[in-house]
Amino acid sequence: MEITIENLGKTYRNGNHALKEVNLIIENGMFGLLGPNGAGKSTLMRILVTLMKPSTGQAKVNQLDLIKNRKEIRAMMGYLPQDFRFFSKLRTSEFLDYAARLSGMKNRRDRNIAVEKMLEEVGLFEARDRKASKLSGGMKRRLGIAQALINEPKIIIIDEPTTGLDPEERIRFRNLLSTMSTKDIIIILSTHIVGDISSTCNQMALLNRGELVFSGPPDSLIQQTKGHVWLVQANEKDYLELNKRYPVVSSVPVEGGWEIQVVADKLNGFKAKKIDPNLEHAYIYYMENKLETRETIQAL
Amino acid sequence: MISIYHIRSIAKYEIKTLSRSWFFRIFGILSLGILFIFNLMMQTNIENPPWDFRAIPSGIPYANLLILNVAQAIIAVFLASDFLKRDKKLDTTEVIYMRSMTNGDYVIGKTLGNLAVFFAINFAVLLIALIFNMAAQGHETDFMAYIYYFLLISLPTLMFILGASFLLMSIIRNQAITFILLLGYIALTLFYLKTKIYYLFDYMAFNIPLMKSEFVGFSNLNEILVHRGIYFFLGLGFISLTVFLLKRLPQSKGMNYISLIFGILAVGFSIGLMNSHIQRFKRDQLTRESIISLNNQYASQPFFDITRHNISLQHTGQTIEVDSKITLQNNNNSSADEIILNLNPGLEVESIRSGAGPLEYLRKQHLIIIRPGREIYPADTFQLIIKYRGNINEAFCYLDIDEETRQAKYGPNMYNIPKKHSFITSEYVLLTQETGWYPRSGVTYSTTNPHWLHRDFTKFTMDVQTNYNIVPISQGKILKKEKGWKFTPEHPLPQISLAIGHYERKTIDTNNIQFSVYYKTGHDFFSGSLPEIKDTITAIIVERFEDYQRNINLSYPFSRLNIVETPVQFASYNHIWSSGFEIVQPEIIFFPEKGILSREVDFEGQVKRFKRRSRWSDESSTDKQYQVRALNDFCNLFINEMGRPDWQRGSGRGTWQPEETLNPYFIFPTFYYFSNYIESENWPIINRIIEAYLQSSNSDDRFTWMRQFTGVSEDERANMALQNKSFSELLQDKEQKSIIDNVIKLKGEVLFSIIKTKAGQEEFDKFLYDFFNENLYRKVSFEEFNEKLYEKFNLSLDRYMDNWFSGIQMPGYLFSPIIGKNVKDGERILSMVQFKVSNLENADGIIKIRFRLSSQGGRQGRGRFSDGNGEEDNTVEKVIYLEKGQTKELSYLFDNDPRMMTIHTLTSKNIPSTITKNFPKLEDNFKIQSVEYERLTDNPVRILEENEIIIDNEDPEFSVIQPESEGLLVKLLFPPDESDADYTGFRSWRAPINWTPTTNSSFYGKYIRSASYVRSGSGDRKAIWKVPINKTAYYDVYYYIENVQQRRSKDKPKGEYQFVIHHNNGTDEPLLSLDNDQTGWSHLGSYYFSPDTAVVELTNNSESRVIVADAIKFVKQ
Repeated sequence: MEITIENLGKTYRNGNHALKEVNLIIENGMFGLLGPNGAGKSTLMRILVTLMKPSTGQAKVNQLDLIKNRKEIRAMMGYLPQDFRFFSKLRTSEFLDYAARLSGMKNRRDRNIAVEKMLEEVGLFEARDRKASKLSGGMKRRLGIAQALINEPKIIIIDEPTTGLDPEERIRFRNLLSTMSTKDIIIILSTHIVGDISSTCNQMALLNRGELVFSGPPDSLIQQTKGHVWLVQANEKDYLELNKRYPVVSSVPVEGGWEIQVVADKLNGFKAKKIDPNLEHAYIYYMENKLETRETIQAL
Repeated sequence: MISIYHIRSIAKYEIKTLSRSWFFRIFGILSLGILFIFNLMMQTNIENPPWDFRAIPSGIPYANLLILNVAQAIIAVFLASDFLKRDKKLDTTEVIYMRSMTNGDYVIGKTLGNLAVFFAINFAVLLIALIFNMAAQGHETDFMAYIYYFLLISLPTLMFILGASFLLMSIIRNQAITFILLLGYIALTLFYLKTKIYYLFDYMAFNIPLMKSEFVGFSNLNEILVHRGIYFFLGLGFISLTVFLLKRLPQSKGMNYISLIFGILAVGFSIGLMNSHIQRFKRDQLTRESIISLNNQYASQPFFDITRHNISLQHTGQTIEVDSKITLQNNNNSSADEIILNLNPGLEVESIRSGAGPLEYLRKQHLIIIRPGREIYPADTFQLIIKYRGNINEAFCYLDIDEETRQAKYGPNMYNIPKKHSFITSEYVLLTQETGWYPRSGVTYSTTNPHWLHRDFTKFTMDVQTNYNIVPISQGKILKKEKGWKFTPEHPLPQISLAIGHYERKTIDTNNIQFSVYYKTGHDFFSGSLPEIKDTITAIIVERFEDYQRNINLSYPFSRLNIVETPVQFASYNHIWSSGFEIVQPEIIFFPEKGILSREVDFEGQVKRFKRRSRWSDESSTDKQYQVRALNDFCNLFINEMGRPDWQRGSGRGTWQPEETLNPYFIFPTFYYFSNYIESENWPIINRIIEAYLQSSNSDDRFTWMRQFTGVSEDERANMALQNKSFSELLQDKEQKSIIDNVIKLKGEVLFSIIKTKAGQEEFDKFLYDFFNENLYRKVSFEEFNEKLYEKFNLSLDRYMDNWFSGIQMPGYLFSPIIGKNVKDGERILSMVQFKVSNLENADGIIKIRFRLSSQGGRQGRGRFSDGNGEEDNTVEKVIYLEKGQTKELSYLFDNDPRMMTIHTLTSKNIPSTITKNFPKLEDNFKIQSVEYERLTDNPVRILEENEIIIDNEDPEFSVIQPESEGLLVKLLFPPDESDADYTGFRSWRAPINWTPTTNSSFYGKYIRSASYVRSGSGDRKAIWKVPINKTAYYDVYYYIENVQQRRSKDKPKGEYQFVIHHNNGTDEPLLSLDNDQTGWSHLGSYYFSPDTAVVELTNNSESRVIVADAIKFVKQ
């Protein structure tokens, strides 16, 4: 499977450029789409799931055009939107059955088996006769995932997958996706939670204000941050000062002050040592330093 | 492409979602509950269900679905507009929308899901109705009607409202606005648009006539299909357009455009149907206009009389084929070379020939203009044979009836029955002269020339052949021949009619007359329903019939009287030139299917009703007596002039107003209209007037109670109209159509009452009886009638006619107080009633006085129903003629106590036109002499003494003060009643908040006995009398009090009236207590007044519910 995105742009009627000239190739496996709120992640996803038409550019799935071949593309998609609710009057199993029917599973026996299997996989088998209004937030989310996966889609697009999930559920969810990603499918995760990507994705893209600012493996992004992450032992005065001047990634209270992780090119005047960056550091570094600098230049 | 699988999936889960929503469940439970109770009440014996609901089996599903449909049309808006609600950027819909299906799949699936849940409710309701229907005793079941009404009522309504909701939501994308628009539209169609533009907006089928007959099924199926098709296709179009407009990226562009094209085509087709629906009526209207215009053009031509007419009719399924052999006679004074006949324009003339061969003729619409090829001289006859075939164009019927009346709702309660005037189907035929199914002489209704009223008495014979196993009914002797039937009426008739159907007959043979009921096979619901009196039914009917003949002073001119059941759709209107409806034909009364409009035919139900009523009133009778009463009520159905009042929602703030209606089954025309005719060139209405007079001798006072609601009776409105316009002007005035019958009746009564007083009552009645008997089955000129009158009584109507027809002078009567006493005549004690009446106006007049006397042996309980034999109290009637300026003193003696006396002032300025005086126990005064007289006197009735000034509420010196109390919205929604009535009814239980004029014979007034009344309040409303006095002096002030409202209630009157009297020494505020039961002038006090100060005010501040402002009297000391 391969999704090719060429010069994709979306301008809303109010003139807001949600996406600008995005070029991207997504291949089999888990693909993470990272970016702050309003970066254009959801727009890109809605375009990919054929809910929205791009203003410019094109996208293809295995050479099938997203606009011309909606029927085929929709048939191979599974989608879980960010704010997923479902008909409160339908039971869990009914909703899955509904999704299965719409995705073309005509044989009732096959469908029943698929529904039951999926309910078990997402841990909702016990709640199969419960109505939506009686499900917890996490259960609803799992049901959302289940409906996205019910037709064994070739492309799964999930917007903010772990929002609202407790840590245990989050891990379970990641594992579920990881198992699936071994098949010949593409899973696109859009998130602003870095941990979701670092633990699962082999490829990722970084979006900011509608523009693609990075694409490649997460390690490559991390590499670029090497030498810019500092661990500082700080007293109260330093802590306040650092917080004012640099992006602080974490601060852990220790005896006599704080242990603070800071992302910065240079850290003058503080007792600091360089540490190995992770994806979170890389993301912050990228957003705070690289992009800001560029914007400053552009503004000048 | 469309995927049935997807559609089914979407529909399936739409059904689940909707059927689990509380909103729908509540609606479902309420609908089923209400309709369960409805059917329980209407179809079982728990309540005595109304006959109109039970009579025709198709009425049961019809009523059930009409009720359900109003509710579901509203609920559908809520449910339908919900599914497109997409106010969240990302939500459930997106999970569905990104699936691989077309927009068509989605919208169609949703639509079917919505339809399915409503259909389920419909089926449940119909099932409930059907179960009750099948279980109920004596009910028949029309299974097909359950399907038909579902398809005709529910399906198009739901399609339309769902489509409209979807489309509006797609366009507006705001649920609240969609609701407002759609609910507003529903309210508009229910409360305002209703039947406008031929029910075009009636998407709920609430107004369009849909009643189905057991004779002919739907008689207007085309019209119904077109109308319901409008909404079905509009809905279909809207749904298709919704597919196109759906805010989802289409899966198949082709499909999307197909749905756009299909949507436009469906909406276009619906608009085409709308046009065809409207054009159907417009076309009829144009046909009618062109027929009238042709009639106007030819109305002045001389017309022949048809003396013989042999009709040979073959019924060939949807058409008739007729050979009509006619003998014409020229009864005009001049010769003619053209014969003008008329025949329904739907019937095509194939040939016209005389003995000498084919004749030249011209067909213009309904007219056949024949050139006989020679001059036909006066008294000459001419024979011709016309061959024609075809069907009836009903646009030709009732040309005199305006569009509003023709479009008016017909049918009981919520039922709407289509109005048909003829039927020609393979199973049923009904033809009356109004349809012009056989050639008649002259033209039909003309607006310019009354000559068209031309009538002739024809010796008919008719041969009928029909290919079907059905029975014809017509006038005259019936002879069954090898092929068909032959009808030979014994006498010349002005018209004949024909019904052919699956009829059976029940007959009562008496010495002179054969009474028959023809009913559709299977419609014998009445036999055996009066078991206790089955041996006396014949005797009762004969007795009632003979009583009626005596009452109207005419004898029945035929030897048969048939009541013939017709399809429920057969309807007729009242023509101004006859008291009869088309329902009544010589020898025949056509009676609607199962008598659906008359509960009197439901004998068993009537008996139950009587029993129940008797339980309330503690009167009990035997079963036999109840059954006699039921039969009597049925007989009354044919001998009462007036029908049951029609309760209309008045424009006045949600009140209901009764309206007088004529009884269409009134048998009277068979006694006069079909056997006698008086023709007059100058006064063509005279025949109708004579008819009205003959009929009035039997008219009753049943409708006097209606004044209570309407304020003014229709007779009084007729009088008010006659004060401004002459009789001849009113006859032409279409605005006055509702009272024209009253005008005719009043004018007829006056004209003949005058002669009657001069000729002597009994002598005149005998004269009329003999005259009409001698001239049966022929027409007589007015001149001949007048000559006979002159010969007999030395009296001529000529003297009165011009003024009577064209004058607008009216008499006005003043009455002195009416005094009743017990007096002695030798040893006998008699009751004596005395009073004086003056007619001081410039026109002669006549009044009728009716005394109701107690039965022998003095006063008895006032049993409302006496013994069920229709026996009324003993009444005595006096007719007093008063020339202009005359005053008469009247004194009457009676053996029994008079209970009540009513004075009918007929045409006069007096309102109310009926003055009622109740007599409580009369006082004894044995000193005065017992005398009886009607004598002239030179002392007119004085209503005012020299030293008195009276200001009545009718005078310009009377005024009222009331604050503006209504908001703009109230005014817009309930515009004040602008009907022609100046006075309203008196409603003490719901008195008006503003001063409102009302009339009552016990109020004060010169000719108009009226007062203004208002609900009691804080004193913000005042009535003011400014009294114009000439001299400064002391005056006694009186107020005319009449406790109208208190008299009606059982409670003791309470409260007092608060007056403010402005006099020379300031103001005084006397109170007038209502506690004592006084009527008349009550003294308020004596005050010193000068000309500019004399003002009396009455406020609405009182404990009494109602304040009545009438008259103030000043008496100079």
